[in-house]
Formats: sequence, structure tokens, C-alpha cells
Amino acid sequence: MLIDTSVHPILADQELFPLIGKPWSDGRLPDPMGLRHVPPDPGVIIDPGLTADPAEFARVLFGERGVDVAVISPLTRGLEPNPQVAAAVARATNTWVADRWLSQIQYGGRFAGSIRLPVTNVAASLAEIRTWADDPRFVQVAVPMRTFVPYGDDTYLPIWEVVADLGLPVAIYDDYATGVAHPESPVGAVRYFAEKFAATPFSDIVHMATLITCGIFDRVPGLKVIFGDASVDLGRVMLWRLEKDWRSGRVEIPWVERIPSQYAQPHLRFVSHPEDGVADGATVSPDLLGISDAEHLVLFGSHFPYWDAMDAKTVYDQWPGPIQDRVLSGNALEAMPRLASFLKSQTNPQ
Amino acid sequence: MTAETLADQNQEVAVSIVDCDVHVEFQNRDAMLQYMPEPWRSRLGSRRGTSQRESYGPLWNARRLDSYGPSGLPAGSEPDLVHKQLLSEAAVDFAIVLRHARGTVDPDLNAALCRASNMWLASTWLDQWSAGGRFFGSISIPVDNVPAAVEEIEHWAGHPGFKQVVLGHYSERPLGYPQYDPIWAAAARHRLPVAMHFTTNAADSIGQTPVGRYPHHVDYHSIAFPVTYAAHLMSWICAGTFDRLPDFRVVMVEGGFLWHRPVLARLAQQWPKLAGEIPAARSDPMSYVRDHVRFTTQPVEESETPGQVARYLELADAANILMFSSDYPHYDYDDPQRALPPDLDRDMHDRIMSRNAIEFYDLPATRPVSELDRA
Amino acid sequence: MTDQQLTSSADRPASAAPSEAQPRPAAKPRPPRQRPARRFEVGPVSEIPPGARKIVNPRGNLSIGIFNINGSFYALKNTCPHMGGPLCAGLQTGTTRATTTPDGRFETEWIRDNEIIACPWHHWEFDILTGKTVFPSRQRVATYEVTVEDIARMADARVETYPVVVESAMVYLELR
Repeated sequence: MLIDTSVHPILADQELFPLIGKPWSDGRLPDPMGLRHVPPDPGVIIDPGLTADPAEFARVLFGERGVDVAVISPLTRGLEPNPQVAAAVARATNTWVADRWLSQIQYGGRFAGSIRLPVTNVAASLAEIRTWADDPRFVQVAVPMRTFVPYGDDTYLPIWEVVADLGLPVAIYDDYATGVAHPESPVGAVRYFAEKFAATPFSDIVHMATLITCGIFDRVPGLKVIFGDASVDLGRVMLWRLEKDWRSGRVEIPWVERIPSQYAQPHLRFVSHPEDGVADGATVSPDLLGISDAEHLVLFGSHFPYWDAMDAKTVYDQWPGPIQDRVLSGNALEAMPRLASFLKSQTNPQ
Repeated sequence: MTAETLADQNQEVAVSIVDCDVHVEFQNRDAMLQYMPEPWRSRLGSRRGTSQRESYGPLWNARRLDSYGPSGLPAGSEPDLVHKQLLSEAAVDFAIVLRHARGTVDPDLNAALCRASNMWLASTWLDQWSAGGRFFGSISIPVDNVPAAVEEIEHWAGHPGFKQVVLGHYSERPLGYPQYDPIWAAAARHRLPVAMHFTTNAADSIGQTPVGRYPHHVDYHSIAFPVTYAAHLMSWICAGTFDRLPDFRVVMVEGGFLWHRPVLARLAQQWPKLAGEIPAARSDPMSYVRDHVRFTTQPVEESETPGQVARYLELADAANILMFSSDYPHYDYDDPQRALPPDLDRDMHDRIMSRNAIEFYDLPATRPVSELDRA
Repeated sequence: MTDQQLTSSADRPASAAPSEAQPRPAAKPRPPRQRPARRFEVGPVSEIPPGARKIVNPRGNLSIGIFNINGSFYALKNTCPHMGGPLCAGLQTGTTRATTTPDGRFETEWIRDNEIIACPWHHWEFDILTGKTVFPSRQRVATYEVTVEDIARMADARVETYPVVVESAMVYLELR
């Protein structure tokens, strides 16, 4: 079985604005592709024909690529400073996902959804969860990678408590839209798209570190966080660094009673990337299995229709079969418990 | 053979430990002010500092508690104690000294502080306290004052004791931005590597990340340096700085090592699609690291299972691009006898401990026996 | 810097003053009889008041720190199992424990003041009473048995008053 956990239809202005409603639909929102860093070639980012047509997605994913279930999480418009606009964009996005993707029975019910949260507005985030959580087709919540304050901060704690209770993991994805976010690097804006691309994983690492050091997992034992833009390999080496400093400075954070690396299996997941482990371009070597713990921590995700999409059929060819199975479906089923019942309903439509 | 008999015979010993990150300090503020010109000397007066880091310090002492002498002078300021702990007890053959003058909000004052620090270093640790030439220096430059930084490099470039330039990891923009190019050109002209060592200056946006600020010392100290060093490294690579300046070399000190492979691998994976926009000319971005960049070990990555780190070190080309450092006398000092995983390949171990640095800094492969050597 | 200099440095708390009793101009105590072969004499109890420590070299390169915690003595090897740092020359301190407020926030509580030694390198915290790291790890520092014997009592059975016992008691390391 093949579960693609990282599929991102693009909600263009013409569909988004009618759903946002007045007065916000009279205004403007950041461009969905981001205007700060223009990619070297427009075709690099995405195939323009593949932005938001469920039929096209179904043809490529279910037809050509052999995907059984695609978990979709549209990227939105970046960090939004106005809490009302943030809430309106999230509500519009979730409504669009439910109506346009999850309810289209002709695709065999093979699209699962993510509840998009307006994290700059915690109350609205909780309202969004309440609105959609009863719908079993939503199997995770999705939050933007860019934040004003890292996800370890107590501000977000009420959100994490609720989603953990509901069995919904939290997936973090970078919006291409830049909005009002902090600069991409600790030393200011970067110059080229390539630099932005290379530096992106470190934002997930900051979230990972602060979720651990702030004791979020100690207080919300059921919480699972899925990092969409960092490789498991980077996660592993940064956990080593974190645990070295934890041994030296844990007096500052005594609630962290476990070695930071030990938070990985119960709480951390990484969407697959071509740079997981040692890649020779076409396949990922099994060299680091047992060290990076990719066999437990990686969920296959193609990033379709974005430009860095990877092909599940070949990339893990060298991995032992049972481990391939875990990465291609088993780990996703474990991290997203709602997927199992979703699959049952899929095999017996209606 | 004991050190004594060897010394009698004027013998040489092979250099087996080069420590690429050692810190020394003025014994007091007056010692520093002696090197400051007016009006700064009067203006600074007795104020302790205008450039101290005010956040994110460790809760307990940032220096080794055993690196203070009975006099209570600053750690790393007493030559006898430094010689004993570093050259005798840790058996370091050569030490690369990094004293970066912390910057204030005033670029002119920063230039004067750097000059004072370099003058002091030249007359102390590179001269009377050098234990027979076992300490090498780094030219401290003010990165927010590019003309002064270039002038500082030119001023010291012929000095045999200075082996590199040193700057902090913060700047207003990633260091591949063109306004910084004259600094790299000056360093390359004199074949001086540029060492980046984390330093916080008064004007820096300390603890800033793309997603907000670190809440604790633990996360700041473990995550901030790789994130920032990576931004500069990507900036130099993508801006084509290494293409334009074939002699420009960089040492990333105390910023971690293992992170670089996954980050470079990510860039390399998509390089064909990305390279159209950027001046970098090579077909493999990893090759810039091999040819231009070195990393130092401390704080060396550790795991409950040391063999795991050893495996990652192999894959990250540690044998060619990693150099030992202890960070003496800071609290997170890594001892040369224990820093590397015990099951590391012997040849790789030797390259990391000394041979890579000997090649990179063009250091002698032997040194005279000294009375500081332990019998 | 010698170990002795370290023990006399400023980290000895002021409260660790000797007892208020006037020191007795005692005759030089004789060594106890039947002294075990592996026993090492650390010094008189008065030299290590509560809160203080002393670092000794019983043999060769072996360095051991002896701590007086509220009147009980503990001994740790003066070598950190992490990277070999002089553990007992570190900061003698307490540590923190997490508490949770009713609204779910974490706070820190300071506990076990003076019962923790933090290595001068890397600040690894060890419990002086057990030699174990405060955080979960596979490493611990070697501990040694410490005994206190009243030499005056052995030397002269007639002298038994409390201050005399304190002033004349000796601390021994029982090396395995």
C-alpha cells in the first residue's frame, strides 16, 4: 500500500476569495507562490496545469503513481497578522477541501484531508478544530512552518491538547507565501531562492527543539508532530546536539526528563525527502537505517505537485521490504490513526 | 624517552594535536585600554563593556571552573596556567587562538577594539607567551565596518603569527551579499582563511530565527549556531564567492559539523533546477565545501551509542574537512583524548586531530621538545 | 593549580565554620591500630565542615573528592566519566525539579542545595550521595566508602565529651 502524506493543491484567488467572504474578499492576500524569492524558472515550482484540479491529481497520483490514499493539505497564504483574516482563510480552505476534494465520491474517497489552523489566532484554531473534527475524512491538522513564536511556546498548548485527544497529528508545512514572517535566516533575508530552499529545514528544527525543551510532549503525551520540510537525517544530528546541551543545561528545563532523542519515536515524524540518508540522486541508501531511525520516523510524502516531488517507486529500492512498507504506509497509519477507518470506508463505499 | 632527555638533544616531536579553537583574554580592562587610542580610552573609562552579551548565557559559569588561577584573573588570561592545562595536561602541540573583539553599536569603536585586541595578541600570545611558537593568532575584524576590516587584514597580513582572520556569526545580511566582498578578497589575497566563531555583538539580533526566538539557553546554544552558519555558507556558495575568489577559505568554528551534509545534500539534489539564477558555476555544490571549507569539532556531536556518530562522521567526509578543537577554557571544553568516538577509523582520527589542520594552516609537522611536555 | 588550592577556594560556604567550642590543644593523635592496608587518611573532620569538600590523591593519578553534606561524608572519584574533567573541582550546587501550576504551566523548584556537583567541564550534574548523573544516563562516577573515627577516644578512653570527639575525629577513605 502507498500512502502519500504530502499533497498540496493550490487554492487560487478565484476560488479562495468567494469563500472568504466580505469584507476580506475586497482586499488582497499574499501570492500563493510567494513573491519575495522568484524561482529561477516558473516551471520549477509547480506544473501550472496541476494546481487544483482533483481529477488531474487523481489521474497522476492514483493512476500513474499507484498511490492508494493521498492526504491533502493546501498551503495557504503565509503568516497573517490580522487574526480575523487568518481565521477566514483557514475556514475557507477547510470548506474548500471538504467540498471540493473529500466529498467527490468519483475519486473513490481516496483523498484524506487536513484541518488547516490559523495559528496566529488560538481561539479561532480551536473553533476550526471543533467545526471539522467530527468529519473522519480529516486525518490531521496542518499548520504553517513560519510562525512569530516557535511551536514550543505555551501559547499553542490548548491546540495541542485538543488535537492529541482527537488522535490528530500536527503536520507543519512551509507556505510559499511569505506574508509578514521573520526573515528566512537569523541574519536577515537571503538573496536567492536556492538559499531559501536550502535553509528551510532549520525552521522545522527550531520547532522540534522548542517543542522538546518547553516540555510540550511531557504535558501532551499523545501529541505527534510531522515535519514536512526537514529530513530525518538533519533531525537526527540536531537531536544529538540538543541532547548534548540538555546534559549540560537541563537545570534550566527540568521537565525534560528523557534524553531528547527519546522523544523522537513517540512524538516526531518526518516527511520523506530525497536527502534522507545518503542519496545518490535516484535512491536513498539504507546505510543510516538503525541510526537515523528512518524506519520508524519517516512517512512517505511526495510534495506533489511541487517541484521537489519524489517518486516512491524507486527511491527506497535498496531498503529491506518490511522497512519500505513502514515508510510507504505503515508509519502513516500509525501516526494518523483515523486513516485506518478511512481505509475501511474506502473499501466499502457508502 | 623522557622530555628532559629529548630536550637535551634538541629533538623534535611529531605534531599530533592541533587545537583550532583556544580563547585567551585580557587580564583586566586596563590592560585592554592601554591598546586603545583616544578618544576611546577616556570614553570607555571604567565601564566594563559596551558589547557584552546580555541574554542566553548558560546558568552556570561559561568558563571551566578549573581554568581560574588562585588570583581570580579571567580564564585564559594567565600564561602559566594556560600552558599547564593546554600544553602539558591536554598535550596540545599547536593552538590556534581566537579572540574576537565583541562589537558595540559603533563601527568605529569596533575597529579600534579589533586593532587593540590584535596588537595585544601579537605582543603577548604570539610573542612572549607563545611557549616557543606554539600559539598562532587570528586577526579580529569588525564585519560591520568593511573598510576597517580590510585595513586590519592588510595591517597584519605579513605577521607570521597570524594564521587566519576571525569574525562572529552575526551580520546584518548573510555574508555572501556583495557589500562584504572586499573582506573576502583581502583575506584571499593574503591566503588567510576566515574563521567564523559565534560571537554576539551589541547590535545583533540575538536568538532570532525564521520562526521566532529561542526560549532557553539549551535550544539557543544547540540550534542557533548551525542555523546561522548554514545561512552564511549557503550565501557564499550561491553568490559565487568561492568561484570568484579561488583562495578564499572558511573555517566554521564551534558551529557543529554533521548538519552540513544533509543541508548540502538538499541543495545538491535540486542544484540543476536551482543553479540558473545564481552565480555559482560548479555542477556540484558539495565540492565547494571540500575545496574551501573546514569545520572544527567542538562541541563534538555525541550519542548514547558513539558508533552512530562515527558512522555519520565518515559519511560527512570528516577525514578531509574536520579539524579538532577544544574551546579551552570554556565550560564545554572537549578534551583531545576523549573528544572523538573511540571506534573511529585510526587514520581519520589522526587527520582530524592534527593532519588536516597542518595542511590547512601550513603548520610544521614537528615541533621542538619542550619542558612543558609531560614526561 | 593544585587540588588543595581548589578546595580552599571561595566556593566553601561561610556557614561551614568549625564548631563554636574552643579547640582543645590536643596532643598529636596516634594512628589507629589495625589500620586496613587500603585505608587512606583524609584529615581531621574539622578540616571539612558541612558544605565543604577536600580533594586528595591517595595514590598515583587517583584523585578523590570527599564531601561533607550535613555532617555525612561522601567520596567521589575526581574524574568525570564523560570526558575526564576534574569533577570534584566543579560547582557544588543544588538542582531543579519541575512543578506544574494548576493552569498547566511548568515552573522550576530549587532542590537539594549543595548535594549536587556540576563538572567544571560541560556542567554534567552528579548526585554526590550516589555518584549517579541527575539526568538519565549510562554513566556514573565511582564512589568510595568514607569512615570517621574518633582517634581521641581510641587514644585515650577517658576523654569522651562531644566537642573533643568532633575536634579529634579523623576522616578515612576506604579504598577497594
